Amino acid sequence: MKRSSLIITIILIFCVLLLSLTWAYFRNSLDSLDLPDTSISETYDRHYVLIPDEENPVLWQAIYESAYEEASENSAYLELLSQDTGSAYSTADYLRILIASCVDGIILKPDGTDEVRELINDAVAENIPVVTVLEDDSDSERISYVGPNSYQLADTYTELALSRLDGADGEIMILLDAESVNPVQTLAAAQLTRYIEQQKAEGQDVSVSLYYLENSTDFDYEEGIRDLFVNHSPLPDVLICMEEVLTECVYQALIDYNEVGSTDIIGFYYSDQILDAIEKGIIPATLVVGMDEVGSYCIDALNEYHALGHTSSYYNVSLSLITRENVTDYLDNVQEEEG
Amino acid sequence: MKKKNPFSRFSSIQTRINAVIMVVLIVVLCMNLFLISEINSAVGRIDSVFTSNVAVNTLSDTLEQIQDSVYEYLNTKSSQALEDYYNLEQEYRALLEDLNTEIVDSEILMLEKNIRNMSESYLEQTSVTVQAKRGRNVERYKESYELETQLFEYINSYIYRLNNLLFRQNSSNYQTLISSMQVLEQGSLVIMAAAFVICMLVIAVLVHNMIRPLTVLSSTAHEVASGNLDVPQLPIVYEDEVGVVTRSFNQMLTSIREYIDRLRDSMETEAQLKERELLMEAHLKEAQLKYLQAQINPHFLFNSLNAGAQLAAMEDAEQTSVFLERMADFFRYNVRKMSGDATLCEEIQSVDNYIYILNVRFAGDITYEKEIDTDIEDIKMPSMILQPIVENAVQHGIHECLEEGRIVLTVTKTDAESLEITVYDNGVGMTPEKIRDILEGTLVPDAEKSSSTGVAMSNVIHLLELYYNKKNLLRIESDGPGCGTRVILSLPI
Repeated sequence: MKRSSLIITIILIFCVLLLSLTWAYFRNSLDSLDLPDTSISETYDRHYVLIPDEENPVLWQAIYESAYEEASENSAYLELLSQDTGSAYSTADYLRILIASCVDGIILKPDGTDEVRELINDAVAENIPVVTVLEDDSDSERISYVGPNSYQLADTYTELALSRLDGADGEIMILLDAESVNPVQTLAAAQLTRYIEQQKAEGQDVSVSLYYLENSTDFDYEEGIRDLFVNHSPLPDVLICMEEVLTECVYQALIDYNEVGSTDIIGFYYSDQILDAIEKGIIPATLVVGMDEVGSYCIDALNEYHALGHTSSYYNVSLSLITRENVTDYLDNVQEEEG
Repeated sequence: MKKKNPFSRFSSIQTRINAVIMVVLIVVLCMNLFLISEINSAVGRIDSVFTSNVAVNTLSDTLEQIQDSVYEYLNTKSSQALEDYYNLEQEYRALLEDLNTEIVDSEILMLEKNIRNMSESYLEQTSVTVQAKRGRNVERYKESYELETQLFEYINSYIYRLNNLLFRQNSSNYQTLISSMQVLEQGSLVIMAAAFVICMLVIAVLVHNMIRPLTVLSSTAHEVASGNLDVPQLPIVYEDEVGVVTRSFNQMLTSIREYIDRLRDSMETEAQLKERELLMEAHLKEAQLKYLQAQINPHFLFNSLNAGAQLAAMEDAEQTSVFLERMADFFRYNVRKMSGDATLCEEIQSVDNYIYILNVRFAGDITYEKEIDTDIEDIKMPSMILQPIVENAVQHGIHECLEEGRIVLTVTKTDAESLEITVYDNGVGMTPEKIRDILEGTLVPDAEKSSSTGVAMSNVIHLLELYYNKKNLLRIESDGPGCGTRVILSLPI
């Protein structure tokens, strides 16, 4: 081959390569644009919506993930309602929105108000089945409740609280949401009081008190806990928190008011902070509901209702404990999820 | 008909130049088309990036106008407001048609679906409100307006969220597009530069290939013009106009060389001929000189002999007159034909005269016989050939026994192109050595003994060779001493 032909051939090959690379990069860039008309990947038959409790984001994220997976397998799309609308809407507002949006199913934690109850009834009347999670509103027309029952909760909390007192006299305080008329929590608290009376050792003096925290506006929990630590001295021997956010607030207050060791916290569910506290021994134990079960049961209930027109009104989920012994398993799981 | 490849070696220069320009233009055109199409595609994408935001804003504006028109109607019951409401409702429904209705795994599309469904609920509610107002059902339209306003706020908040999501996504897309446009711009510049270099190289190479044979041809032509014909044949690279000229140049060069060779050959031949002619002339001159030495003044002698012949005739001495006349003829012929051609007939006549003179001298002792084929008169041959041979036969063959001596002259046409002349004597004969010496010209004649007319055998042989440009025209045969001698001439006609 002549030298000139060789040079031309080399330049040509170089140009073709450069052109291909530029074109490929450019096309790839254009194709990677997530324009609305090109992002349709899969269509579903039904549209369910989960209204989360913004105060317990980790717990609700876990419920959403398990429910989403279950929904996807059954040709349903589960939407997680977000507060990113520029307006702070209540559960009732969301219910109105979802009724107007004609969705195929709603999963929520009812706040026990009449407004929400009526809206649940309205939704069911519009042929939109509603599943309640963790808290129940049995007076409403909701098709099913998914969560632990109050007896189960009370029994577990009683066992834990008495084990912390270890036969000695003491005071047990149950922290409750003053606004909530949630039957599960209320029932669990009542049941807990009765169980402790029944199960305490002979001659043991154990007093059980209920401490109601205002939660009508934002940040009320934290203020209520502060009041508790400031005004209630000495602190009770055992503090039972029935919500994730309450557990975190009490834990932070223990540190802030230098009360670590003066009271034992029995928490509900977990977050990084709670697991960290368990690992350090500041929180002895926290109660965990099987969120995978919760998510999948919700979708099962909705699907069954759509298929058959009815479903079981109660799905019981298992409870478990996180203590210092098994906290590393959960820490590993959290790290994997974050990693 | 098979289409010709413009780049083949058989294409003309014009075709190839056209093809090169076409190729370059097509390459440039393709590149431009490619770049324009990619830029158009990118611009289209950029346009579409924020189109979604514009559409959502239009939706929001129309919704706002519907709400206003309903409020206006409820407030004033204005016909214009009612008309506006119906128009805007139509418009809004048309806008809703563009929103997604599918259940898909996309937050934006699901928002669209929710907005669409909520909007339909909202429009139903507005319709209820307007109907209630028209029906003067105050309580109902107020209640319905509240619900409608609530839905309006929900929709607005969803539209706000959708707008936010789209804007966030579109901004990110815009950034991606801008960066990919920059890559395209840089890539295009590099590609255009490379295409420019390639085109230049291709043109340079093709023009060089086209011009090179012409350059070689011109330098070779210059060399030939300066006199050097010893140049190699030029290679024909392309069968174009230059190829045709090169081929013609090669042929011309070959023709010139062949012509020069032929010219050289003919000049050499001419030179040889001239040389031979000069040699012949020299031999004749020599013979003539010898003859003139022997005959001091032949003309005076001829005239004297003629005068003697006339005198003898006047005195009625007829034999003397004939003798003198034939003697005069004999010498005249010798003198006259000393140079130039003669005919065979003249040569034979000369021999006859010579024998007659000898017979007169020696009282008719020599027997002379002739055997001659017809049609020999016009045959050309050099002069002074036969007479010297006959003279040699007399002098050296039968000189010792003239009474019994016999000379036989035979002229025979062997074929159409040759003639054989034989002079036979029955004299003393010759040894082979003597024959060889005579033929090779190495025999030294005995001057004292000789009484010849002066032309030796060697001269005869030379004359024959020069005249006919052939050797071995004369041969001598003898069976040995006492057996006679035969001199044979083989002459071409």
